[in-house]
Amino acid sequence: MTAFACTAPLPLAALVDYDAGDLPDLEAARVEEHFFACAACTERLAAIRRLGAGIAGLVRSGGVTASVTSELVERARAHGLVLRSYRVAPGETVACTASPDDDFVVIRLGVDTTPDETVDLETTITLVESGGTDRIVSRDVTVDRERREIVILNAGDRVRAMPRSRWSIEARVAGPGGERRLGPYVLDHAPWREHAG
Amino acid sequence: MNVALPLATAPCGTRRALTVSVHAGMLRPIVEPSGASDAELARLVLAARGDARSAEAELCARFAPRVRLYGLRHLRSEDAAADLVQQVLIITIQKLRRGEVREPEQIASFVLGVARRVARDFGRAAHRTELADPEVVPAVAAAIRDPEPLAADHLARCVGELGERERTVVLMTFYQEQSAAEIATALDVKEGNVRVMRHRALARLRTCMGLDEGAS
Repeated sequence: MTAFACTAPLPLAALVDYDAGDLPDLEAARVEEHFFACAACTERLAAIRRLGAGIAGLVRSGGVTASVTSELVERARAHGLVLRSYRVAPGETVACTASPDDDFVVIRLGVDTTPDETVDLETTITLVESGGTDRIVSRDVTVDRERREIVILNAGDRVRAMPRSRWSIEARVAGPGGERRLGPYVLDHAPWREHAG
Repeated sequence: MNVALPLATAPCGTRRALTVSVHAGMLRPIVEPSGASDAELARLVLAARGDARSAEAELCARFAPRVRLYGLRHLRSEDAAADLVQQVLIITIQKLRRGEVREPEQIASFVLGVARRVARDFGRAAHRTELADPEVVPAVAAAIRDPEPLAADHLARCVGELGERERTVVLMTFYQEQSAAEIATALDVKEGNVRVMRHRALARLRTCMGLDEGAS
């Protein structure tokens, strides 16, 4: 079905909020009255729904890496996903791996921050065999302040693909009082077949 | 004799070309279902002419996704939404055939009204429709299609390109099914900020996945 142009298209924000169930009833009703009479806006809303379904599917298949809340991790576990979890304190080194069955590897970094502070993570990955390094910066990651930790969901396939390597993570905490650093949090990663146990 | 009339454009939706036949001194529109407006399709079904069945099929194809989206929003279940689509389309076609749709120009409002009523009654025995004319069901069944899923690898790359906060917000929205208010509380930010992050993220994902208007 071809999407014909709409001369008064619904704003993208309204479509997103409608799909998420975040519009008040009256506004939602207006959105419905519009797209029921408009093929173009129906297609636009359908595209949002496809994206939403796709994103949920990525989590269900262990196909996304992100900083998340502990609640998301527990929900994934309740949905039957297999999650391997490692908690690392500042200055600590932890051996880690990913088994063939792991949908996700969850890294929990112990942090203590205030609500007005933001946290960037700088991760240096050093390959043991070649000595090669890679650096990843993740800005403004989510902090679970109640549990005092940063929870990073790592796609299982991505971790399994990594050769033996050392992951050194530093947290850069910035706030009104200035900047401070926490860490390093070190993970010694080995592929499953090489992992000691 | 057939005569072509100029193109007309509806405010929101179908661009149509009208061809009319002249027969016995009277003008009668010949409307290709795929190029007709929703109202014209409804009129064709009401008139019960030879092309009525094509018009029914086209109406079903157009309204199925609309009712599905409504059902997903209100019933929060793919199965329930599919059931809603089937029931609403069957009711609509049957009512059109019986001449019980008084204002075909308002067919969209009519279908929305049926969707609202059926969804409200969902779960109750009362919502079950009468048995459909066997001829109606194939047109309805043909219109019910699950949307093609997005390529997971491509989507994963696009989601990976979002900022950390945006990525967190979309996961909480679509996997955890949390409202903007719930996400704001969990992340210790304002609800308005959550909505802005979400809108921005979806705009970027649409473009990255080739789903925005300019891409088609």
